[in-house]
Amino acid sequence: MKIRFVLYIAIFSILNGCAGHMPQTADEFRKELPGAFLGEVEKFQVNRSYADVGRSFQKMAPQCLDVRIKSTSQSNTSYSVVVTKWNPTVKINDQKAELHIQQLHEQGVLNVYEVPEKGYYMMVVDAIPLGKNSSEVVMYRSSVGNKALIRAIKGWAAGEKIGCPDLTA
Amino acid sequence: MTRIKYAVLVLTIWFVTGCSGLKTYHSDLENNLKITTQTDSGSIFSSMQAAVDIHKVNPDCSTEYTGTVQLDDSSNDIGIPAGRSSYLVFVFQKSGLFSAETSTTYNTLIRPRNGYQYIAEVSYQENIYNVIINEIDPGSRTSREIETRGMYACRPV
Repeated sequence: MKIRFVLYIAIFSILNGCAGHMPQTADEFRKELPGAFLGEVEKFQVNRSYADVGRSFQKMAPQCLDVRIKSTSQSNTSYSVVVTKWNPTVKINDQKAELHIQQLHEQGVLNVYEVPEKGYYMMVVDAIPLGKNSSEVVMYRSSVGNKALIRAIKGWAAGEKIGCPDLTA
Repeated sequence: MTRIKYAVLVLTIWFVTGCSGLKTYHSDLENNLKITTQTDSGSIFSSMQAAVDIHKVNPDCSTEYTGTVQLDDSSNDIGIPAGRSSYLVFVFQKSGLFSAETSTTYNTLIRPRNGYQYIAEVSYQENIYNVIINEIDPGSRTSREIETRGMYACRPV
């Protein structure tokens, strides 16, 4: 968890130089991630309407991603505890369905940059209509890590009964 | 036995038997829930243990822990009360030689119907876990999947 967070900070620190800024909204995240170090925008198509994709997000995100994770690390000289609250948000309007995933570090992490209300953005997923029963899914994410999370979200978007990613892994 | 020795003995037994806070789930009810489990930690250096904690749900939506069933990679049959809600917390605990012990949970409310049988398919593979619960009609033997719902779905009565 700590490594993942440091990596995340590194991505945006390099992106922004020393400007000291982290994306405060999903729109800022979408705009800033493509040029970021280890930032990746992945696009794929699914044979479902964007509304159905959004309903899958609405069903699975609260069940799987609305969690609080406590991780501890210990060595001969140190002991640390990091508590992270994951906060998913799903929005559906007449143009697209959105899944925002944010991480709020409640303990054990010094937040140097301004923290959005529900925590730093770590992934934004959009489902955009292509036709009546097809959509393009756009994932704004890091190019490393979170393999299980990415696989789960792709499965949800495709309407598969894939379950939840182990966010402690 | 002096009073102090007795107190030490009681404390020792309490530590050994009950310190973890877990107790084995026991029910005199007829079995109505079959749980099949498939787990794979994904590495020869780690192991995965699955279990389910069973909680009684009170009318005000508060819960009371009633016990735990350790799930092995086969099937377990248990009886849970019909006609009232229970809260099932499936726990996936991973421990490894070179990694920290972690656990993650999948929670759902269930309200079994009288005479119906339930099958829960529990899996953990490639860092993705899943619980699918099917209800089997005793008459037609047809099966339908039950939507899993967290405690947020509980309404006080």
